[in-house]
Amino acid sequence: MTINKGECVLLCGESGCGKTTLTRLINGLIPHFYEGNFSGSVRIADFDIAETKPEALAHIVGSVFQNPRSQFFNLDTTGEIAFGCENLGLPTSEIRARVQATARELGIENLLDRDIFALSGGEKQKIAVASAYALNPDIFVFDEPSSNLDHDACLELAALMKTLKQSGKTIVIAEHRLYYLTELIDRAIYIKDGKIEQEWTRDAFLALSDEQREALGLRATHLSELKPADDGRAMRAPTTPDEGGRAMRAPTTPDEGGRAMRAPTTPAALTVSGLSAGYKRGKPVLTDVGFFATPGEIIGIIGKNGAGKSTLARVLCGLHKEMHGAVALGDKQLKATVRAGTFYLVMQESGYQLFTDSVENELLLSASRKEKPSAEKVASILQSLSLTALSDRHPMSLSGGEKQRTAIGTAIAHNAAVLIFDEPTSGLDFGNMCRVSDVLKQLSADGKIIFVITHDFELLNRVCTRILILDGGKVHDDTPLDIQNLSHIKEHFT
Amino acid sequence: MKLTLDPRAKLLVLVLINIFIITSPDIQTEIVGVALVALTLLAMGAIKSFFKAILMYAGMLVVLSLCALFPDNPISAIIAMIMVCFRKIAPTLFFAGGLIATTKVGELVSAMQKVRIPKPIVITFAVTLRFFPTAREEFASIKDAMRLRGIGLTAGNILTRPLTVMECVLVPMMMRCATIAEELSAAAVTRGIEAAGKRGSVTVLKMRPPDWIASALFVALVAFSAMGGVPLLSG
Repeated sequence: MTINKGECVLLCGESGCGKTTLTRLINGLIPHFYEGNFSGSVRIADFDIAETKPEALAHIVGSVFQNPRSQFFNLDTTGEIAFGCENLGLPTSEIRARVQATARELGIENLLDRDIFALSGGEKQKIAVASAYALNPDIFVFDEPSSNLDHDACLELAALMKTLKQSGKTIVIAEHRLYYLTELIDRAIYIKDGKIEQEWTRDAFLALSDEQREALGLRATHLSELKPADDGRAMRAPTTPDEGGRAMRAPTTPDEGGRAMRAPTTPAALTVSGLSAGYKRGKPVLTDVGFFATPGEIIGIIGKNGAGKSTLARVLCGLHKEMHGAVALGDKQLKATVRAGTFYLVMQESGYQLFTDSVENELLLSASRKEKPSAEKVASILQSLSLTALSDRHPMSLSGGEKQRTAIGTAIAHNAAVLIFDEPTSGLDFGNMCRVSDVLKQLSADGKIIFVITHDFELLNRVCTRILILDGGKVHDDTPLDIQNLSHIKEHFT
Repeated sequence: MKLTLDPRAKLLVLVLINIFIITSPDIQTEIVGVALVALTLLAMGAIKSFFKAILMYAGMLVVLSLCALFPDNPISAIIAMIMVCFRKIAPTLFFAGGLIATTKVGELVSAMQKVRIPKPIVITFAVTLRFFPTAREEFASIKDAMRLRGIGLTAGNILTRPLTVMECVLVPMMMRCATIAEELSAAAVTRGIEAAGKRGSVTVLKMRPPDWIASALFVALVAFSAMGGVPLLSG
């Protein structure tokens, strides 16, 4: 294939199709950093990649990677933008001029001289673009740059890419999330099993029907055309506090309530009332948050960065103690110290949550303090998450999606009643997103209460029955997800 | 008014503190040295490091004098031995903490280059520094994950099943660190870290009077302790 100067090309395809490999061929990481079999040739401008060292390419190809946590070398932003220039031994005055020019041209002067570790994901990604830009390369390569970004940050990244394109840069983007790039790209290349299968112009690509696109395993290109999965689930959710209250009172007659307490697996409703929480310094992050949830509900939690989504998750799971308010399961009020475990958080990076040497031991470890789950139970959990074939594998040798399912398995083995998912579909292709939504529905059918913190509008539409919108630490809206409400919810995504 | 010292002066002071500790003849002289270190930290604006240094050192002295009350008790002897070791490395640690808090990585790297430390050592050093905040973030996430599994980092768990707890900290930590190290290296390679030749620097370093004064003070401190320290004054 040939990419012309000034063109913006999207590389798309399922996970593991070879998109990332292709980007590494362009920035010279293959064959110089990642070694393997290599044949054929890549020519960038007048250089043959195989014979050009990455440092000679540094001022020709700029790279931006997926994980903002692991692409910075300095602790301060200015030093980071200057880093590449320093490596190439430019004189001090030139480096300073370039840092200033970069900040001005990309409109990020407010980010200079800041502590990188205190920046948001979107700001970090801007610094990553800026530090590549400072070397003044003609070509920019992005490898899934939006994986860790929320919706607003995606749009800001797209605006930054547009600035690059307007100044005549060539841009190559490997990405799953497509909707934020539709204005930008000139061409889309579809890769499957390491081969270029199809190629479209922008117009042809955007004209693909939903069926065609989904058959290729690609994510949505237009958020505005998405609709909630229409199977009437939304109707069942309690819609008003009043209705919720009735649903709550119903199962808590002394008799039934007593039974529910003795058998912790009996699904019980969740009541959160007057919840406030904060950190040592500054204003409380959450103020007077209250809602009600019944078993089987899948509730999406959305809101901007800093709206309190992750604090709410941490408080529910007992990782952070509330200042006021109460959390009750059934009629039993649970203190923060006993919530950890009954409320399980499936983290965005599941790697943190896996501790042992095999998938099976992972499930056994989770409950070791009280009673180990029986072999049958472990087998049935593995079965239900299609992990049976992997039961002896080391968790770290699994793919991202498999790790995530293992983490979910530990939660089930732990008899968790409430599962909270933090961005479960970030960086996933269409097929894997569907798998996650199937697992969520299955958990809901088993009577778990499920919360999904997400920026993924596609996922929300597939699984959620109800949406909690957080804004400034308060529940701004609590609404069932149905056709009538859709445009209202969509406002938060456009 | 905050005193900004040239990183080279800070590195020199760090070396001088080490020499001082080796030559220091008794605890009185050591206290004089720690006082100078603490005042320098205060002048550099490293307020947190200053208070930490004062409190920790005072704490160690208290524990040591308590141990001295029970000279025949083996446990008190062990505690005293550990405390003395800590006391000996404390001034260096205190100053190193302040140095990190008040110096940008870029400044430190260019200072090290100016004094002609070989490039591979400089880069390794820079990456190591950069790694601490990352490790802290990673550790916080792992701690949360452990708590969710009912194996939180509590005294009870550490005492009753130390091996499980250790495994749960180390396994994910090592795996995460390996991933991060690889991604970090890849990012650095694409930005020309392997380029041959002299590195440039965004900061210009210049030794100014305060740098010379601070260096001279610590040279004087070393000379004082080498000549006999506090006993010299009294006797």
